[in-house]
Amino acid sequence: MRRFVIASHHEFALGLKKTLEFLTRTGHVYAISAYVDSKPLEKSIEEVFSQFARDDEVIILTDMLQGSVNQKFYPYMNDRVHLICGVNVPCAMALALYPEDEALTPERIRRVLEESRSQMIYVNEYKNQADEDDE
Amino acid sequence: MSIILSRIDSRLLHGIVATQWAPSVAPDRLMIIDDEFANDPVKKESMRLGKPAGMALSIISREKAYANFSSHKYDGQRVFLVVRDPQIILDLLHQGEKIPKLTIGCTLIPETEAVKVSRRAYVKKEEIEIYRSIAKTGTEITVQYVPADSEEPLSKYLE
Repeated sequence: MRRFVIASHHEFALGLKKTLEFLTRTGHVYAISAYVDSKPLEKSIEEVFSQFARDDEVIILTDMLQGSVNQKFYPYMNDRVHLICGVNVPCAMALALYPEDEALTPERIRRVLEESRSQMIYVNEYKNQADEDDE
Repeated sequence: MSIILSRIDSRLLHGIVATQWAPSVAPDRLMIIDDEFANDPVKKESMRLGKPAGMALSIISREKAYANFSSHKYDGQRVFLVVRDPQIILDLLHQGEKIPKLTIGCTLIPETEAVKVSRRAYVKKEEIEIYRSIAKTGTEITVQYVPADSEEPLSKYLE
């Protein structure tokens, strides 16, 4: 089964989970909002992973590379557990909508990341360019 | 010149340190002295993800740090030091290092008796003497979580 773990400093993770569920109706999304209370993050992560089977495919989406949240997932990475940082909505959506019968290989994940990166756009300039072609 | 700033931070190298403090301090080397992280290859490797651009990063044990400073390995470098335990700062001062300033950023919420010095930081009862000894050497001690917070002198909370 494919599982998504979204983790962030405070409640971005919870918000992204809700947005993702609204846009895609994906199940199996687990949000970890770190540092909202004094509970150790390691413990929250352990609790989520304890619900998973050994052959589950796990996609972890975190807020930023350098953050302690992302660091804490580093030991969990393997062939079936993928850690992705700097997540945005297009990235989470593309992964959530990926057909579950096609395994998320490193090559496929790389492609999704390239596409979702390109969705971050300075719209002021984007719009101006579009205007030139318009008429 | 060697240590230009030191910091107490229970999360050591994390987002706030990597993206806000390190660029504003702009050292040649960011140094974490912590036995738990230095001696565990997986923890050390995870923490290296937080390395800010444009500076060297050391994650080393107390023993190694004290030896390296003793042999003047970092002379000529500007070092930003981050630790969890103020005793490390005091040990370095005792072996002759100059540390102009110590910022208390964040700590865990202690289960034992402690003085709350900010929304993010506490000084445990047994640490009070350590901080006093540090202050006696002339090191300025302040409390500040992120650079945008106002900086308070620790002396305001420890009398």
